[in-house]
Amino acid sequence: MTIARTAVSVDLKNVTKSFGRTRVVDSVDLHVEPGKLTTLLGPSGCGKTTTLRMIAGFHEPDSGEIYIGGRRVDVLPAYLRNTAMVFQDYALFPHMSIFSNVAYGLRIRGVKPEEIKKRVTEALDLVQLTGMENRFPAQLSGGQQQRVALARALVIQPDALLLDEPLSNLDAKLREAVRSELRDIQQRTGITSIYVTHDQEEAFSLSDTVVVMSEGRIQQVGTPEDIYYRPANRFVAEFVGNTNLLSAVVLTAQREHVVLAAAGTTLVATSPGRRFAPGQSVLLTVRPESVHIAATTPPAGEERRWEAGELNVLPCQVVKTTFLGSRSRHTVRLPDGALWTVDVPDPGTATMTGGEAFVAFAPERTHVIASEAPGGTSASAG
Amino acid sequence: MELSAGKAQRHTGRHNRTLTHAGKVMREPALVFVVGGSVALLVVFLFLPLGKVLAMPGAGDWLSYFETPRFVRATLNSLFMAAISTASATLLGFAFAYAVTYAEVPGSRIFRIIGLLPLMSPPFVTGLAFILLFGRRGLITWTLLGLRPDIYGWKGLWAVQTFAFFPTAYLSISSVLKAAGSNLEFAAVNLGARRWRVFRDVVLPLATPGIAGAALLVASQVLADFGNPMLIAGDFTVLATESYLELITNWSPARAAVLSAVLLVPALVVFLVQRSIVERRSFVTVTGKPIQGTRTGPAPWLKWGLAVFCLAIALFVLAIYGVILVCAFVKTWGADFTPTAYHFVMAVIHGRELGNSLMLSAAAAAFSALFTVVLAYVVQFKQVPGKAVLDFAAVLPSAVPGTVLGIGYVLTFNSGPLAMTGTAFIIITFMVFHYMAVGYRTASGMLKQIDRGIEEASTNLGAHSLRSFWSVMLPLMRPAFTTGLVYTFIRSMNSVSGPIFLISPTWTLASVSIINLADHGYWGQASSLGVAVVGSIFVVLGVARFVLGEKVRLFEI
Amino acid sequence: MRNPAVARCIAAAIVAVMVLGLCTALAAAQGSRELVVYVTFHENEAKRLFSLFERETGIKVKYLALATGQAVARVEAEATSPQADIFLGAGAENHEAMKMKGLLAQYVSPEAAKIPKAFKDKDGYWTGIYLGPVAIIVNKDRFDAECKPKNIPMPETWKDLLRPEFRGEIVMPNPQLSSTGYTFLSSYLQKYGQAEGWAFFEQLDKNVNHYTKKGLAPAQLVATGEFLIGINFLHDQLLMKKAGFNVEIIVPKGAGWEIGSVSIIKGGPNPENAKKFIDFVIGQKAQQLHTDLTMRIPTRPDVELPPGVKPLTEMDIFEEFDIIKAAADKDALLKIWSTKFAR
Repeated sequence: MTIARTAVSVDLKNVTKSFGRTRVVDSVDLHVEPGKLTTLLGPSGCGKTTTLRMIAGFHEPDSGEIYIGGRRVDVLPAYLRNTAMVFQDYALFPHMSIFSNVAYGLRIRGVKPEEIKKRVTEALDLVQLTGMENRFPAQLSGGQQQRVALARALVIQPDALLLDEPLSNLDAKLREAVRSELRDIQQRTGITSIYVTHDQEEAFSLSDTVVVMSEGRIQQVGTPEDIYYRPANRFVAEFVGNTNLLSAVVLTAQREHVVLAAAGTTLVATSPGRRFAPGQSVLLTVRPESVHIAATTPPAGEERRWEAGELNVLPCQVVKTTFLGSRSRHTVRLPDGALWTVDVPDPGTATMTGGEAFVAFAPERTHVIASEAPGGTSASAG
Repeated sequence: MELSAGKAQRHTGRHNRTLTHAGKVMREPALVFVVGGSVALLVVFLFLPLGKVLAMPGAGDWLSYFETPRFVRATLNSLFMAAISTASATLLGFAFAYAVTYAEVPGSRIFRIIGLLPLMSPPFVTGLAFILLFGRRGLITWTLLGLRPDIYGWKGLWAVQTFAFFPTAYLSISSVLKAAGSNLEFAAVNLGARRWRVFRDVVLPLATPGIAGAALLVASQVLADFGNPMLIAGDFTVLATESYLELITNWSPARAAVLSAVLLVPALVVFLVQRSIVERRSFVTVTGKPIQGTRTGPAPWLKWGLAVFCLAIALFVLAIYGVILVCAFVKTWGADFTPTAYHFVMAVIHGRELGNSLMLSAAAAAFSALFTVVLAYVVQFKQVPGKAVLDFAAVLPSAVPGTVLGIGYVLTFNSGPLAMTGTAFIIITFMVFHYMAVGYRTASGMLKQIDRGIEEASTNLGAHSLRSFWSVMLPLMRPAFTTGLVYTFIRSMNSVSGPIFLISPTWTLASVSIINLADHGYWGQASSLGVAVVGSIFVVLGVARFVLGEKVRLFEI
Repeated sequence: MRNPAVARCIAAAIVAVMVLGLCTALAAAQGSRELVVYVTFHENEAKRLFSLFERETGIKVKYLALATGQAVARVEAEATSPQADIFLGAGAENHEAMKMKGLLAQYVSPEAAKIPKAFKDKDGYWTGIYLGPVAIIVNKDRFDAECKPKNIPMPETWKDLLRPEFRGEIVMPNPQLSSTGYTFLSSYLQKYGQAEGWAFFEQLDKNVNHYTKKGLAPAQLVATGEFLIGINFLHDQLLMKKAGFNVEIIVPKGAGWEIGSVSIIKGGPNPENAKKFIDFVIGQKAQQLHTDLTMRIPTRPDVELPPGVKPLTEMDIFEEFDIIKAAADKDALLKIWSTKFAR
């Protein structure tokens, strides 16, 4: 593949940026692996777009350094950084044909016309827009425009491909299709890519590494599975998917197994790589789909562990049940008053209809994080 | 690519939060050069001359203003004339715009073109034709109707100014009406509103800021005009004329400067009010795209009434031009109607004024269009310090009467290190800076609707500022470029008030020559030159349309 | 280049500017056989005179057509390094004032002998080339239709203009703005004294429709029938007659006048050529040409007059009119004027 170059890493060292009095990016350190796709995930205003634009050179860090392939770039103007950005609004040049749009960066680099033709054709092939050379952006659909933007970015063989919520203007169905195409193209070309989104599903499905940001700080860096099952703190736990929280106090902590006192009983949880001291206040987290609900009988498939007492079991009050097709969702109240969500897959007709019940969940599906003052967050890279 | 206003706004918002970074600017030498150059040009060719006008007169000169009743009276007269002419021209312009763009009376297409004619003709010739038609012994008033109106005074001037400036109001208002009466109007009809209610409740309120803006545009032009008052006003004096006479007839630059400074006050007030209104109304023009469909339109009786009204206006305009045409090609209007090409040959073929005018106006138009587009780009898209000042400076010249700026140029460039009166350069410069506001406003308006991402994409792909500007922004701003080009060209061709101070033996202009010829009794030659000016404007517009390959849009401000 | 239209425009502009620059440069670089003139005539008239001079002498004339005040101010400003050789046109009082300021050079042309004493400076600093009396112009068509039936006679004197029948039908130039207007005012006041003079203008004011801003305007307004009677210089009125309008022109007894003059600017770049020009312009040939073009009455007696114009000697004009005094009185008289006739 001619588009691929030797992939390089992107590094941010203690980068800080303020707009007026608002600190938008706060002491960010980040290492992006060569050839990998790293996603900056977070709610709007978390600083992810600003971070991306600083890498591209549209914003200048107040302090800190940015390196692309070991070369310091924050001192360079945007046009010398050899990054390629795919914009949320595509930002195609409306007065140029598709060919000219894609060829633009090559022309600026003084590439010979024959070479340009060859590479543009390749790039358009890559995004499956062969034969569209002479059309104009306005004649293409949103998805096609997005692919032109991608081709335009890829064709210059950038050191880093920067994608700023590129799928947000597409409808849901198309978004999924383009998403997998994008992942495929990224893997084939092996260009170091940084992707900004607020959509966790998008982040999980595309990324090698996910970086969760909030209020200008990095909350957690990890694989999608890390982020989902082992959130570093309450913010990540709550931002990424639905999660159930339970306040607890550590009784004993031995290697991966933590015994907790919570809701008037004793629970066993896992927390790989973390150390907790007895007596410490913590939060137990468990995902709705990891929790079973049962009225009297053991949950289907978990009979053996239920019998063996290997599951954590808590009594609960079913507050509400919603049928969602592929699953049904129960809202239950635990003895200490906490409201949990429990998803039951493939519900059939046997749905719970209120009243007393039990929730059960396996220790290895839980995760323990340090409890903190409400609303506060603390950075802790995993 | 059409971008929604919401999107553009989001981007603007994001960028407004960005503080300026001198460091970033310094990294782009081309940008530094452009910004520095623009600032230097604006300082030398706009602020310096205006400063000279204000600084030159001594205390005694200022005192002489208050001690000379003639000057004080002229000031009051100027205000009075601006007020009544603005009211009538705006009303007429509104009615005309309503008829041809909203009600679309029969013949609208022709009326639209005829309505623009007065904009393209040099001043003075129109006034002359007006006298011949509507004077005390005018062809229509006396010979046809047996009337003896006394046009020499404020009433006559009022009529002429109304006629001369209603097209400005018409153009400005019609673009607003087009924008205001779109989706919202249909929504109102949908809600069951009747014709008149639709107009009163929806169209008019939306158009009001635009109408007010048009009125103020007219007001500033009436304040600045001195050709018509000179010819028609009799003993009724106005400031623009007085300051011209002080400089040319009495050669008293200090007193001329005082009068100019006084004239500048109402002009600036009008300008500031207009600026705030135009800014407020921008929501109509940005999002208002004319849409297809049938409008409700007025009742038939009103429609036909308006058609008659338009016809009357059109006949009036055509009569004026008819007189000019006849004047140009007969021996002597009123005495000897033998057809002759003598005047035309003398004034147009043998004279070099028309050629000069075309050459200088074309050069001014090209520079002005380019300069305004660059300036708008820098102000809208670049993070440079003092953007607000640049923005203000770019539209300020539209408020400054030509005599004021012209006198400022004489005071500044007659001697000393900047001595350049007598050169073509000084005339071109005057035209560029005096008429830059329209091109600039159009360009900024367009830029506000262009997604910043487009330029960032270009930068990101490796283009430095100049390259991005040339390959991406300039082509996108082509309509604004054309508007600036055409507007500056037309205004320059007819520009009298400033150039009259700046011409030299080598560089005389047709517009000024027309006045001098008429002043010295050469009416036939003056008319011939007038006809040639109008004709050549049409030819140039045609050529421009052919070369630029697009419809020439006027006054979409 | 991706936007050829814009590029073409810019290229055109650049070429235009280069051409302009070249032209100016060429205009600047000229030989020494030239003459620089500041002239107050209209270009159409000046051009013809200069081309005749060029043909006769081979000397190229560079000229700048200026309003009188502007020309005077310019000569004054350039006193230390004069740029022009000749100041042509404008009333003698302007030349006299410049002479007093030491801006003019003395030169008595051999041709000057042909010009009567009254029309030239006794010290030889300026020479009159034409004489312009203030006159009355009447629209004959209108007069015949409106006045003859009422047995109103054609006005012969200034006082005739005071008839109540002429109310609102007279136009004259504003003395504050036009030298024509001021010549009329000052000559009348000199001849009849302040008291009688101002009383006359107060009476006349009732009949005047408006005071025009330009000297020529009254003749035009009367020619087209807009007004019945106009007051301004004779030659302006004769131009209307020449153009074919049916007008009657009267030079009343005791009419004031101006002498359009020419002088050499002291220290000008081409003093020898300047003298040649003076010889030329007050010579018979140039005077004849100027007269034919402008209808102005030449100061030389050997020039053929415009048709219907009496020679100066037969006109009963105000011969003692002191134009120098008139110039000195200007500010004072205009102050009175502006208080009396403020409109």
